[in-house]
Amino acid sequence: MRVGLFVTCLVDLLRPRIGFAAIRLLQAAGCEVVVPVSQTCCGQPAYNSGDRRAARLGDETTRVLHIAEILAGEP
Amino acid sequence: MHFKARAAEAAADRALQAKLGTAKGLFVEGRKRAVAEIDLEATREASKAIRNTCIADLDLWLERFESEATKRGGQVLWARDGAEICRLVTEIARRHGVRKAIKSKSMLSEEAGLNAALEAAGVQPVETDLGEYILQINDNELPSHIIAPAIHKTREEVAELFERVHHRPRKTDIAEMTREAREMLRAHFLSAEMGISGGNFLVAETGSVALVTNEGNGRMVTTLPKVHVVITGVEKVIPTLEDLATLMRILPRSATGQTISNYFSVLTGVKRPEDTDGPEHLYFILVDNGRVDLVGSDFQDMLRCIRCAACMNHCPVYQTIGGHAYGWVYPGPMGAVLTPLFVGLENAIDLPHAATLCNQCGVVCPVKIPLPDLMRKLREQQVERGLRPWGERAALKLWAWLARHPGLYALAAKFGVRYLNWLAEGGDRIRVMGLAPSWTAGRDFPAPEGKTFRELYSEKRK
Repeated sequence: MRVGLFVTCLVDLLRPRIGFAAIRLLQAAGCEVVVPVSQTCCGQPAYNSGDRRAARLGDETTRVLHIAEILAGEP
Repeated sequence: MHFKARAAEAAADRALQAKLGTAKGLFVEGRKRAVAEIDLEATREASKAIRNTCIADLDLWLERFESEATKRGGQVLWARDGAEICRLVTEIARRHGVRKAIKSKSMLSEEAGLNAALEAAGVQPVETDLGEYILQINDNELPSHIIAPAIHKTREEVAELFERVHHRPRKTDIAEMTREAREMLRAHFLSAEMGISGGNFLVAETGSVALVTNEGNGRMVTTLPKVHVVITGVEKVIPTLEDLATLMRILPRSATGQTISNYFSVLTGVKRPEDTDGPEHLYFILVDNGRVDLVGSDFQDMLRCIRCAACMNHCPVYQTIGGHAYGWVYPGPMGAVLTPLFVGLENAIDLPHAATLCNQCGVVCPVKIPLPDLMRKLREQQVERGLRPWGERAALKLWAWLARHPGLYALAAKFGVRYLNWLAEGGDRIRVMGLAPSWTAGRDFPAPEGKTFRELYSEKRK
């Protein structure tokens, strides 16, 4: 199975080793891991701050994950 | 209200946290034990359904309550706000020549500032709940918890207060201190002409008020004086005694971890000729004060609240800062939702943000109020009405713009991490957060590991 990984901003900025651990775990389970490089933020800071308009950047993340899905779906 | 300043002060108060920690152990552990005795999820669902039934037809249930209570000699009065509560109570006091009123705990009386109004009308109000009594004799201090109003006080502080106010030798044994308070209150119980109580529930089918107490003062207040005034919110009405039984399975368990409270009274009607005690005159003051506007609004779920305090007992923010920091009658998560709704969003700007949205409150709420969702809705309204500080709004706009430009976002992340590393000075934490120093005013920020994940990932792939 191919898996698209969204690493989240906390992992990206503060704890990259968690991201690599996730990749190793998935690989150990027999998955092939794809990390879309155009991923940014899930939108939670804006969502939890009550800024719905800014939180729509989550749409962008959905798009990126959709790309990951397509990648993951490739044979 | 300046929540941030008060919260910062309280967060630095280690003695306060020690006191709250003791209470937390008592309430959190107690609840855990008590709810294990019942089918918790089924009882929560049933309780939620009962409360929703009443709120869906609030007017009909209130009319039913009014008609049943009136049949049994009670008089139902309606108060739009705190000022009307004060006017009605002082009118009743004047009508019956009342000089002294004994009170059991009533949060509505706190909403209205009733004690000051009674004093101004020449009526002496005497709080008889031990916690409320302690606060009243300490120069009318405000409660910091809805069911344990003096939770922020240590035994030593109370011993000192009793010695100063009672002019008796200092006692530090809790049983002896309680006895001393009872001796002080006894004369008031016997001489008061009016009793004022809150109400945990109003039962529509019988016109009764249900009172959940632990000290027995509630029974004295509601049966000794010739006049009894019940003050409670309109949303407290429930259809039947059967419903009361269901709610009573979950209220004391959620509140204090008790299977049942020490006293549970269902008071119906005035004293009949064959009764040995009870009030000759019974008044119900049913209060709106912002509640009716919540019916049909985004915040209707909040009207289910049965005031058990489980949300604050389990809240990491409440456990750190206590109740006074919230600035009004209701603290903790339920207060963070109710206060802005009752006093105005613009007058409680920080309260919907006084939470980490961790959902401990939502998980323990006996009537399944989605408290974090309601706080987020209030935050959205603040943004829509332009009430948030410009710095925050600008930062979010910038963040959102960057997030739509992945290349720039990656570049900003790369330099952001370099900046954080520089602030950390080689250590594993950041003591002062450069451009956002308030972030680290009460905590450290963890230092990054060196580079962003995506930098490291690209390097590895090469």
